[in-house]
Amino acid sequence: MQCEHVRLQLPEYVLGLLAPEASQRVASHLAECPRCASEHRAYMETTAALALAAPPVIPRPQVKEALMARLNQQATSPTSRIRSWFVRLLAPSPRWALAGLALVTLLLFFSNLTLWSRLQRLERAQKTAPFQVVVLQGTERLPQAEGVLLFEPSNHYAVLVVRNLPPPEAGRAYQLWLIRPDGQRVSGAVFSVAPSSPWVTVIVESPEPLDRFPAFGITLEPSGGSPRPTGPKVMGGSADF
Amino acid sequence: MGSPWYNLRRHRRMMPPIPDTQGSAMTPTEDDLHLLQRIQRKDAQALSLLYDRYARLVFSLALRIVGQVELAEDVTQEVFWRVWERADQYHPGRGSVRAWLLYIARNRALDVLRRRRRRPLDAHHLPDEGLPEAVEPDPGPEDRAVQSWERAQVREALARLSEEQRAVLLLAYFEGLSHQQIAQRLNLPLGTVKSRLRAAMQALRRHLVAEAGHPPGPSRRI
Repeated sequence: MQCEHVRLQLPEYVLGLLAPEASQRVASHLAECPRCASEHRAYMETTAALALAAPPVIPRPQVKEALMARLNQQATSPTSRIRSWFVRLLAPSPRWALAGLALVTLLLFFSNLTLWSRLQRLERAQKTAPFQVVVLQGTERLPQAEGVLLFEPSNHYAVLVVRNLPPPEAGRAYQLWLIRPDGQRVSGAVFSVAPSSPWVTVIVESPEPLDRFPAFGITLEPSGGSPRPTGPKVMGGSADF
Repeated sequence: MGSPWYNLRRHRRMMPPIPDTQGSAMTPTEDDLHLLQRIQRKDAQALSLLYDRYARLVFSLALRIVGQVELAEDVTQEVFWRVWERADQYHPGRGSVRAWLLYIARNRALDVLRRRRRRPLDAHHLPDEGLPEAVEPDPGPEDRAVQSWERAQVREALARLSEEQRAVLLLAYFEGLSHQQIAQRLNLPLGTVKSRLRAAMQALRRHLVAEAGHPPGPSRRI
């Protein structure tokens, strides 16, 4: 892609007005061309300056309080406590830490060999079918449930195929959630399961390209669906973009 | 009243540089970078400082886009939460920390706006209809003067655009409308919208540089 063409498109690129394919081409060029990347920075700052045209308003103090409370909640979560415990365990004894590191490195090496081999197989498979496949597994509540979500990464539609989900109780339905990187849930589909068949196929519609969602989940909700998850999670899975 | 030295520091902090027309970008302010490094190490105090520095700007932008206080507050919180979770995704080569924050804020606010537009009840939502009540402009001391000055510069630069250029630019930036939607809204050919938008951005960039009288950078403004 020529620099002149990219620079012509930069104003629309920074405003998010280019089609996904064109945007991807510009991004690829910027990664390789320092001069165009410099132009891009200039337009990023110009665009940011436009925010100053908005009337100045301050958020209420509760916004910061909620944010900091969220941080504290994360810091006291079990996962975080385990991490802190691990760090404290290794910190006083660097020799143990080094030995542990060597062991982990060794394990990672062999693990990588296995993964590399799997990756090669997957890449070969993907060349023949350019779909993203996300495997969904049943939670403890429904461990027998399994399924897949199939879509083209930049597309807004997907096909969900699940099996071994029991029919929901009267007045309830299953709801698929598309989970943003920040944890925000977007409804993808509301569906039911017939008692006669262990298989269900559902067409999923997303407001954004599906590769923007790194994870997916299914919960049990009131029939008709909910704006946000309210019921128990029955299935979940993560994408690997 | 703040001393000149204090004001100088404020300018360095609040005004990330805009590269000149030759693209000789200056590096983002070190303060912000340092804060982001601390945030990467999960230093909550650093996030608190970054919030104090930019929350008003982020919130003002979000409110201008979504037009509702509660939604703008959600957006603001999500923006800083994302910074907390993904501080390592910031690349200084792509712009200042402030530009990155505002980029995230705009995208998130536009997502919210688009979702609201899809609902029938919000079909008449127009963020241009004015600010909601119950939120007062920040009465903060030095910040107010510095940001007023910055805002005046941006307003001046925008005022120097033609009315037609300004209209397409503001519809694209604050309402997130596509070329096609702008063309329909303003009853213009698609090609005209595209060329006006490009010209508007190029002119705005030139005017912002001209306002500063040099390749703009905060440390050279005083």
